[in-house]
Amino acid sequence: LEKAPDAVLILNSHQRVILSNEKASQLLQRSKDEITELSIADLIEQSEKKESKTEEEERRILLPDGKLRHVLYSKAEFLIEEEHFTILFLKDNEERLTMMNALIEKDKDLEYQNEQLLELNYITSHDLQEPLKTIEGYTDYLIHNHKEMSQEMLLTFLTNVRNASSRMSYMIESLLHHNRVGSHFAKKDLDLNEMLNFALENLGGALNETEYDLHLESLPRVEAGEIEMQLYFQNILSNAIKYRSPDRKLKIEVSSQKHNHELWILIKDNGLGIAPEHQEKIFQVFQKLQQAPQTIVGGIGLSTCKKIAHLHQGEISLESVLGEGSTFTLKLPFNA
Amino acid sequence: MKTHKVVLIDDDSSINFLHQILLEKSGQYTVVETFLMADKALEYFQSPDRPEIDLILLDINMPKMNGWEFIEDYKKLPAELKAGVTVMMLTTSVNPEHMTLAEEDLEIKGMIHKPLKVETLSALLEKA
Repeated sequence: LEKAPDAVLILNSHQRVILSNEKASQLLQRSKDEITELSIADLIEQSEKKESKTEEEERRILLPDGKLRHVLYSKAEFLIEEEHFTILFLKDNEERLTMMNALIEKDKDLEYQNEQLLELNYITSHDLQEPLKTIEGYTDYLIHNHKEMSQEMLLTFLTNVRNASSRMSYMIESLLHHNRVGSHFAKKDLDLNEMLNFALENLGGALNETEYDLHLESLPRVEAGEIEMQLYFQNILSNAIKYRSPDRKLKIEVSSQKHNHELWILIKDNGLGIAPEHQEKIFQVFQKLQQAPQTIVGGIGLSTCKKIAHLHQGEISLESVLGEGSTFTLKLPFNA
Repeated sequence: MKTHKVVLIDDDSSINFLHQILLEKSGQYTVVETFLMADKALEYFQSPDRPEIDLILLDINMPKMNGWEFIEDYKKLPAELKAGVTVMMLTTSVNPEHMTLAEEDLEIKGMIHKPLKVETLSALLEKA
C-alpha cells in the first residue's frame, strides 16, 4: 500500500476505513488512526451525482481545519470471502486547478493585449496618418506654389499645417497616457465615495460652467486601484458633461448594486445618448461620433475606462437611448 | 474645355479647402459644393434644384455616416439621379481590405490615396 503512487483508502462494507497509506495521511492531514475513526462522509465531500465506475472524478476532501481541497477521486470494488470492499484512490488536484485558473486568466489577458495591439496597428496606419497626409498635401502645395501665393493664403496654409500637427501630437500624447494607465496597478481597500469626490474636484472647471443635478448614493468599500478608479469616474463624468443635452438640465446619478460576486457601479446621465450602432465603437480609441471642431479629435477616455475595467478583471457595459441618456456600468469582482 | 463639376465630402475642413484649391488651380475642375458630413451631402444630392454634378470625392473615415455607409445609401438612389456621376473614394490608410472592397463595388470608380494629386485623379477618370 505504501508503494502506491497516490493516497489510498480501503473501506469495508460498512463504509469505514480499515486501511490507509502514508500519502493519504499527508493529503487528508490526519493520522492513520484518525482516518479509521472517522466516517468516509467526514473525509470526502459526498457527491450527488451518480458515481462513475471507471473514470476519475473531481471531488473535495474535508480537512481538519474545515477547509476544502480539490482531489481527483476514483474507486474500485472487490469481494473477499463474500465481504464487499472498496478501494479509493485520491490525487491532489488543487495545484492543477489553480494553475488552470491562472492559465484561463492569462489567456483572457493575452486576448485583450492582442486586441490592444490590433487597435494600435489601426491607429498608426489610419488615425495618425490622417493629420500627416494633410501636412503632406499642404506642404507639397507650398513647395510648388509659394511664389505666387498671397501673404494671406500663405498664412492660412501654414495655420492648417500647424493645426494638423497639433492634432497629431495630441493624439500621440493621449495614446501614451492611455498606455501608461495601469503600469503600477495595485489593488487596495478603497472608499469609492472618496474616489468619486476626487474626480468631481478634478472636473471642477467643467462642472462650474454647467448647471446640473447630482445624485450620489453612498458607495461601498472595495478592493481596487486608487488612481485607476479616480480616472474611471473622471472620464465617465467628463463625458456626461461633454455630451449633455442642450434641451434639459444635466442630471447625473451614481449608484451601486451587488450581484453575486460582482459589484456594479452605475453612472446614469440624461444626456444626448448613443445610437445602438455606435455603442461598441465608442470604446475604441479615437472614434469620433460627432462633428468635432478641427483641432479636436475623438477621445480616448472610454478606451481607458475599458482598460481600467480589464485591469480589475471586470467589465464595462453601456445602456443608452439616443436622445434620452446613457448608463455606464462598471462590474467589479467583489468578495462579500 | 469642359470642367468636371465636383462635390467634396470630408469631415476635415482643411482637407476640403486644400482639395478645392488643388482642383480649381488645374483648370479642369470646378468645386460645386463641399460637405463636412456625408448625410448632408446625400440630402443635397437628392434635392431637385441642385446643379449638375460629375464627380463626388468621398472620404472614408467620418463620424455619423462614413464613406461606406454613404455608398450603401447612394446605391439605393434611382439610376437617373446618378447618371453621369462618378464616385471616387479618398483614403489615408494602406488597408488592402479597403482596396478590394472598393474594387468590387460598382458604384466606386476608384480609390485615391491622400494627399490628393490632380494628375492621379485625372488619369483614373479617363479610365473610368
